[in-house]
Amino acid sequence: MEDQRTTRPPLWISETDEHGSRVRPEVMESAHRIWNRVLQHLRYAGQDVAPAAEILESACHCVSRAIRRNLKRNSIRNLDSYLFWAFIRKHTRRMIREGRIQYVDSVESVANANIGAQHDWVSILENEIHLKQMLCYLDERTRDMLILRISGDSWAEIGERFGISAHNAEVHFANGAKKARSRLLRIGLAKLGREQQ
Amino acid sequence: MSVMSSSGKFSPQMEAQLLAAAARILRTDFPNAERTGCPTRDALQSVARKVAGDSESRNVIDHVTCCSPCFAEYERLLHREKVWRSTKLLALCATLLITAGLATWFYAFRADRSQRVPEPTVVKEGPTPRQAAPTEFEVAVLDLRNRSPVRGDRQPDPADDVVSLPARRLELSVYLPVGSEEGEYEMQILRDADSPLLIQKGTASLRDQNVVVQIRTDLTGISAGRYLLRLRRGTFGWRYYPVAFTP
Repeated sequence: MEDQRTTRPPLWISETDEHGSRVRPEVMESAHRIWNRVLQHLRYAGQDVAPAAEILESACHCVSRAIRRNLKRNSIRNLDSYLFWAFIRKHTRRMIREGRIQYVDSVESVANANIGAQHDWVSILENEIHLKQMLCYLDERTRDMLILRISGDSWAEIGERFGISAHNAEVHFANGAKKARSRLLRIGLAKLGREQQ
Repeated sequence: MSVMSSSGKFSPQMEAQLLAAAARILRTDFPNAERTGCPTRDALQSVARKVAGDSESRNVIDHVTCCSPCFAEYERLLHREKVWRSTKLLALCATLLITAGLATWFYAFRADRSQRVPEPTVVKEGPTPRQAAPTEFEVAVLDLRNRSPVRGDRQPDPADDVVSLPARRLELSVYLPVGSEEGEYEMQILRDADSPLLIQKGTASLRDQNVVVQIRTDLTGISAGRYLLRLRRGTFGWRYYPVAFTP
């Protein structure tokens, strides 16, 4: 019997999305490249890999549409990582929506702890589960800033890299984190609303 | 406690918490055993050293955000780079320190040997005229540079400008007339033409564009009064100069 940890389920992506638009070939190639990493990530997190192919296909369609609309023409530098994060985001959202994710309470706790005034929500994020959820909602630029900050770069250096001032870089990072939290909150609140109904 | 300051930034403590937690996740949560799509080690290194181009650097960092092995390697390279920079800085500081130390030592050593200013002597009593001990030689100068020799057989006129010397033991520097040459000189003190009271020889040498004969002589046996000094180089003719000795 083949070990489940090494089994690699097949990935099949339809060439047209639900609107009948053709999926861009470079996105499909990228999906095949990251497929193994997606599976490894899910297995490491103890998640079911069964819906992974479907979610990745959906992420491919979204990214392809975004490229077609030229909305992301200048911002997608590394298509593999862009698609990977799109997958993680969709996967997290789906798990929360379907109630299959075990740490769904984390979203509620973030929501409950932060409605109204600004409280210590970063200390809640110290819990890895909360932070993972937030990381996937960070925009590309903020995520890059996060890596550079972890690397020890000063705000002045980061600002210089992005062509903005040190102050603006710092504010942009804080706003990016705040925005990610808001997106996470929306999902959590929507779920809370559904449950109350 | 508020997370954001009034300027819309994270407080330093909160930011540190966030970064530490994010680093923990990035280090482990995105395995990539086959290293699919990973940049080369050189590319990672150039980003860590901040020498990569903007586009390449962003591409690599995008990848690092979702690949734990690359993130771990990137952290290692950053740490190594940091250590290397610190070592370089330390070496530079040490070099500067050693250079400054050597310069100070060299300056102090040189000043000690050649530029030390003698300490002033404190004179508590007025200076007393120094009497030369019988065995000591007094320094004296006999300057003949602008003097005309006595010509012919005539006796020196009392009105002639007479050079005076103390009749003691002298370390005598005789400045010869302008135009004199270096070489062996003979010098005699006399009253009468052929009976010299003192015969002295010495070597003339050039000193500060003057021709000087340095001799050590004892004039204590000569009584005070006017005399003739005659000198010649080798076997050339004598030249006479009036000289007076004082006690």
